[in-house]
Amino acid sequence: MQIKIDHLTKKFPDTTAVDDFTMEFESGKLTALLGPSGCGKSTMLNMLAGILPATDGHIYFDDDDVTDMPPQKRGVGLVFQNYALYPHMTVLENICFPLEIQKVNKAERIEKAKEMAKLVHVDQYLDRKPKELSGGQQQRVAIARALIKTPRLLLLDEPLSNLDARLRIEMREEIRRIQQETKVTTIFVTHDQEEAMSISDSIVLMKDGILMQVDKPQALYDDPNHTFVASFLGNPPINNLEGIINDAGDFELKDHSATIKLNEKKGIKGEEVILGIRPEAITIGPDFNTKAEILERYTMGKEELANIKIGSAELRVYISVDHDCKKGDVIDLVLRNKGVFLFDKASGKRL
Amino acid sequence: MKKIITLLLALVLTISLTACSNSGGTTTEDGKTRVVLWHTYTEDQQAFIDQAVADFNASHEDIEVVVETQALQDFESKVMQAVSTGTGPNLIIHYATEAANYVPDNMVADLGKYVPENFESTVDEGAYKEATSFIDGKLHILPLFTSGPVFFYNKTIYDELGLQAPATWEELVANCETIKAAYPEKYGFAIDGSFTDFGQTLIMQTGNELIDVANKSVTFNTPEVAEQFQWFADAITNEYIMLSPTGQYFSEDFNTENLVSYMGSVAGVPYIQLPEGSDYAVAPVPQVGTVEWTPAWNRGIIVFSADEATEAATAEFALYLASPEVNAEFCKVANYASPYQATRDTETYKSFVADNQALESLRSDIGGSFSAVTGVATVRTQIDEMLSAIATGTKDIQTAINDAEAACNSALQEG
Amino acid sequence: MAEAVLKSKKRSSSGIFNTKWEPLIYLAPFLIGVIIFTLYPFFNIILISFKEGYRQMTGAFQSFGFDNYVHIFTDPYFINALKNTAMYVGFVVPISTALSLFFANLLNQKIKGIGIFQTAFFLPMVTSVTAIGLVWKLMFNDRIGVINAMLGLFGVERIEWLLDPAMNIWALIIYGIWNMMPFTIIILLSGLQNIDPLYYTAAKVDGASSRKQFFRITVPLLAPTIGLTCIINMISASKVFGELFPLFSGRPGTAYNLFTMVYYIYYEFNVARHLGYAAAASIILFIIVFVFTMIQLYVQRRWRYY
Repeated sequence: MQIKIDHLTKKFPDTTAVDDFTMEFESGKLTALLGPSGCGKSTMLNMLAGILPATDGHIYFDDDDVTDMPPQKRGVGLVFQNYALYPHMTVLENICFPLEIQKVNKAERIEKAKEMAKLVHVDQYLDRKPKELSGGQQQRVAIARALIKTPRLLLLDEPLSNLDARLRIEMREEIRRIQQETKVTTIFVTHDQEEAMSISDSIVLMKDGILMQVDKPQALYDDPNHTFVASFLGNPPINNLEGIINDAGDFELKDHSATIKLNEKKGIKGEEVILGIRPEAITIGPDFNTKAEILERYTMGKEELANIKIGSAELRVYISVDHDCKKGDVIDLVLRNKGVFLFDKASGKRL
Repeated sequence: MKKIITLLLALVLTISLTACSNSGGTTTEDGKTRVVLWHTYTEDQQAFIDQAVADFNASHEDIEVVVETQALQDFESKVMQAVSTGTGPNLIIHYATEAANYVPDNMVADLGKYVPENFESTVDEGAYKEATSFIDGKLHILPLFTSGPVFFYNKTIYDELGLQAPATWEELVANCETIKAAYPEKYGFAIDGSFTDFGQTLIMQTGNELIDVANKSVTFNTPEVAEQFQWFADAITNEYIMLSPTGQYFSEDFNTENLVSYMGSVAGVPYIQLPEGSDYAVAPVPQVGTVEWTPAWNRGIIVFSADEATEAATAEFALYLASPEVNAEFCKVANYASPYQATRDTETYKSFVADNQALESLRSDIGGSFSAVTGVATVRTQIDEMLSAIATGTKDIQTAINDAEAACNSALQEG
Repeated sequence: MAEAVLKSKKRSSSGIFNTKWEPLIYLAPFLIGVIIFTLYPFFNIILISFKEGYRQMTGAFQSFGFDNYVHIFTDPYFINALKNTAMYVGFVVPISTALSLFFANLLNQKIKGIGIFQTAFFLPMVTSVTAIGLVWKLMFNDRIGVINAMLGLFGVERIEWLLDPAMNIWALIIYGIWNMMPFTIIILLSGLQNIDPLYYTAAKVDGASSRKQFFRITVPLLAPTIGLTCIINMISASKVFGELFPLFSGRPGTAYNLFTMVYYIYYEFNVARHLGYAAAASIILFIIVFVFTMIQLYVQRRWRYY
């Protein structure tokens, strides 16, 4: 099912949580609503579920305008951050509950529930109470409960944030698997870029209620249209250098302590800009055009990182192990084409 | 440090163990005999007692009376518990029936030893009879005051309908009939409180003794009594008698003129406030006609048994409270009549009675009460139960009388 | 040096202090209070209940045995008291709990001015019992009472709540239900406020009606709290006594027809002065309440989900 959001706005007494939002969610895909805390992504999800009314604008499920439709008529399945499994019901009863409300007969709903339980791999725990399950198992049950009524849209609110690190990786793959098996249009909310990057078909990045960019995860990383997008994605984060475009069309640090040669001369002379350099976007070699001093080298797992200094600016970059440089050395480097972005300082937009 | 803690602990233990035993007649450090009075009076009456005790203490160098105010609730049980463990008061002001609870175990003093020889002639006959109606025949209560029910009626309505205060119950019913005819919504009569006094009145006025002390039995199972109860049942059926007050007391219904007359305590006068233009009057309780009788509620001083010196000191204080001037003042603040002619002769008493028309209707000359024997509390309750069963028609009259007789006799025979 | 420290420590731990008995010493004032004011009276009552012809003043008694128990079980007043108390508990506890649940649920809604309603419902708890009793007496008044006036609107004939002995128990039950509600509502409301609102959101998304939410989510999640109030209310209802006085002008029912267990104990103790009977009746009441509490606890344990 395709979802169209048209100029959707949600105002609370003292804030605007979602501001004039327009976009489409692709049918049958897993989309992540990504953004920092308080960016309006949960509000968005709640409006899609019908728990919160919209202040302005419309939501369409295919061709139905569901803006004023109550939650139960929208055909959405909702999985909560802390799962909200009914503690007094067994796993089976929990999964059956949506069908019990729809007055599906008992034999049929139990059969369906068992099917769902099998899908999410909790079929051996049917008689247990939620508190007897691990966090990941509870999550699976919550997903089964959301899926049993074959929703047109599955919504997951921060589905992994209550799990420990190892389970999180396991569960996000599970969510991916389940989504691909059921082909249900799925939207999930997260503040974790890695989570969003790893499982979603596309990512909707939000900030302060405004849609920043929608794209496939890798495209979002490789081709950000805003300094916020570039900064939000990537670990270690992108290096942002403030400066101006000099007469030669190259980047010059604000205090004129260094100049970095740009491969593409996009800027207008004298314009204040931000130069974003991803940690992996430099190459070291003799006779390259920019000099940098190595402040520190360290290893994070298999990755070799270094803090380097170009003029007055400090950067964190990847350095290949092949380079035998140490603290205090001055090296020559050059920027690659990929992973270097120039943004307008005032608007933050990509140049 | 350790010693201090041990000492403190010992202190706490001692205090917690002795905290509950703070009274009882003993000799104080300065050689005075200590006398403890427990009472439940409040406001004016409490102030009077404090004053009387202060006066007494000032004029008696060797006695110190200590006053302890107690809560009204469960007062009797508290006294009984305290007295049985030797931590109780030396005297209380109460009914003879309360003293009766202590008589079989010899726990109340024989006041005959302390009163003047001519005591019997100074006190009303009914009061003296009750004060000596115990199984041992001794004087176990020193009469202090008398109260009782009187007949309150709405004088304005009575005058309007040309009625007179009834001298007999028959006349009362006739009056009620007239009232019902004129005002179908009004009730002619009501009995405040329990039916005990009313029932006792009907029984005694037929010339019955009610309790045969010697044979430990009741005597009210007679055709005459049944006839009076029939009269009562008929009056209820005809809706002449209001059974339950709208509020707590019938004085409220009397005040709204929904009720034209009622039998209630003389002490109820302050609660009567008829609307503007209406007036009330007070008359003695009506009679059956066979024997003149009216209930008297006599309260007196009960002195608990103690060592000779304490008992004598307590008796001295009791007699002080019964002395004419003090007794008159007490009657005045408590709104009671006095059983002593000497008190009634004082100026204080005379001026007090002159202001209280209800007290004049209290015929203490024909006042009587229950014999203070074991089981009398059950008899009192049984009479109330018998009459309420008759009033509500849950039992026919003879069954009610038979049941009450059986229960009363069994209770009396425990003594 | 270290040895010296050890030694001094050892010295100070001599005697009863610093031993396992030490806490007992600090607890002593409280324990002694409990022994004197709770345990001693309790065991004394058990003893007295077996003493025939016990006299409070002297402590004398005629024989030791079950006579008091035999007496009360052949006493029609006691049998009547048992019956009335059972009826009172049987009607008041379930009805007041059900009504309280209903009202607590209403009071748990986020509505403007809900504070006023909450205050109104809890007001009876801080109002004088006698005053409340008198107001109810007025409401039950067969001629001018508001209850008969309202019933009259539905064509019900005048009911003599307080005069007709057959109606007395119903008046007492209605008054008892009302009396029990504020406390029950407070407890249930606090239980309701402990339920995660997310469960309701989840149910709403699934399309559960308010009715369904109430019976499938609220009631099961509140079951432990409901069980607790049932036990507390059953214990307090089985002690019904003070409610009688304002309603029936001090009588146990219009014609002594409404003895309750505690009224019987009160009567035997305060009026008839049969301490043995009063003690035996107290023990019977204790056993009945104890057994029912145990049954309820057992049922509740099978009910609860955590």
